[in-house]
Amino acid sequence: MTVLLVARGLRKRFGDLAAVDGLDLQVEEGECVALIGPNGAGKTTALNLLSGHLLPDEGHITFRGEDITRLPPHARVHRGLARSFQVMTVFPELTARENLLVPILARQGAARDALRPVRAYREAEEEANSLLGDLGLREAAEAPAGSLPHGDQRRLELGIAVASRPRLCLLDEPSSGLNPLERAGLMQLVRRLADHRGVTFVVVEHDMDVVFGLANRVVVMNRGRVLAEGPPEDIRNNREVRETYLGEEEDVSC
Amino acid sequence: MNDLARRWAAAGLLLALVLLPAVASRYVTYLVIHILLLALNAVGFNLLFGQTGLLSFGQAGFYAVGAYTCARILLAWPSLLPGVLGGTAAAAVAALLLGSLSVRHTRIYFAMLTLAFGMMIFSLAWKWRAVTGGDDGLVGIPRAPLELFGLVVALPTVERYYYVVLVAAVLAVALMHRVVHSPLGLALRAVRDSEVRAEHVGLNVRRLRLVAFTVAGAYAGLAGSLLPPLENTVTPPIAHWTASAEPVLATLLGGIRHFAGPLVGAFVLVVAKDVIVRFTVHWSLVLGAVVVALVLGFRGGLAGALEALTLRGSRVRPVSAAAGEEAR
Repeated sequence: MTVLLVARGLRKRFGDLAAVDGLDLQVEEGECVALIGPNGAGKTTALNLLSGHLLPDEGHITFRGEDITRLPPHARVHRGLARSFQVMTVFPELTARENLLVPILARQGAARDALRPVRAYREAEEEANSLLGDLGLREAAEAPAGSLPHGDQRRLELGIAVASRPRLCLLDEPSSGLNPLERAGLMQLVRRLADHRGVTFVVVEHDMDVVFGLANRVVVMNRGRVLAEGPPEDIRNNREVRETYLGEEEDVSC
Repeated sequence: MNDLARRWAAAGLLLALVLLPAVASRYVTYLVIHILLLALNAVGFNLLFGQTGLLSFGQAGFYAVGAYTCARILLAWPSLLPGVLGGTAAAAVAALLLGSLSVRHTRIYFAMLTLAFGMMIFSLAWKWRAVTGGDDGLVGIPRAPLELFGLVVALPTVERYYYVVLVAAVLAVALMHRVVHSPLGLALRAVRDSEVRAEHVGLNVRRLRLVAFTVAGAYAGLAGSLLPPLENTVTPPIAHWTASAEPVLATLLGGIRHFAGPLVGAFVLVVAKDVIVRFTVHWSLVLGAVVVALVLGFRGGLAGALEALTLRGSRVRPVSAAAGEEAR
């Protein structure tokens, strides 16, 4: 197993609040890591630091052996580190297909081509179409993304993240706002993408069914740092975790 | 409107423009030159506004940089091409410099910065007497001949000069059509739709904004460069911020989501102004009311309304989808 990402001693303060307070994290190629924790544990901030949306006050991030701590987001994407967002951020006025074409063309360095029509990029279009198929959005290809139903936008958001062909993809609550049926579908989709495209995922998630069904390693955060980590079964049985997070302390006889 | 109909419309318009000086009066030809200049400025502006989502109130500044540079070149070296190309290049450089300071901001902050930079250019035009002639402006600018590949074409009449402007406008609009439909155009619309998402799919948002700003500045500069040979003078009011409102109004009027929007808007704005001026000294009041009515009445702009009209009866897709298609 090769190490993809290493974060050491990450800290990020917002005023008096240390949202991330000495986070150490390591992700290996081929894993699916779930990042869980109570509200305010610093999961989303951690993702923002890893993806370059925020810069840390302290600490270092290494991705595939390279220090990326201060790189802007677009430079991280070109090195193979992409993400999705909790609050939906598709490109609302672009069609679903164009939503996927943007990361595909950006990846190919074609986004600076000002003279050839987008149509001329046949391979990019085919790739977008095939990804639309994987996402179950082939019928929606020509519709403005902002007009799609919530569940479709969720899948499209995931598609945008993987269209960059990342080595590591960070997902921030990919199933939020979905019904249980849609959640199951999304889980399958992530698993399929992980298998077929060789993407390593780090998923921030609240839904424990999603977490335990998807991840082969669970990292529990609390107060900005790692509380526990291990295989899903160990975490499920970890007493400290149950008390701080899984909320089952009443059922546990002391 | 399908592709074929759109092509026919463009061809018909082009034919009418080519035949215009033969059938219309000199004044109408002169007026259409002004429509073309505003159209050029507005088409460039809409790359910034409609495509990239940045509202600039400083386009008159770049228009003026183009006009003054071209005027100075023509006064020293009476040859049209160096004047127009030099003016366009100077405006592009000015836009690149001021843009690099502006594009880290968006929305109202960006608009205010461009307004401020535009006013700085205006005060330069007003005060820098040695270069700009101050409030007198520059006078006696020749309508220099067009020298191309050893061929010298004199431009003694407005009609002849009209064809120079028409060729420049057609080439520039065709180029913009390509840019809008290219991956770069798509990337700009992605930046407009969601800046954060665009960064996280690997787009350098700031650089893309700067590209759009520079291209818009170059288009304003090209329009400005074509003015002094027509009028033979350049004066500071062309740099005033109220002049910056013209491409904004033309684009809003025509429709920001339509490629043809700025063209339609430029036509309507120049013609409406010309007509209204004949009837009242309070023309700007009436023009303002007309613009407000049109913008409120046709939310998608006049180009959108025209399209909806021609689509009636032969509609193949919903208008919103067609409008989305048109915009890209």
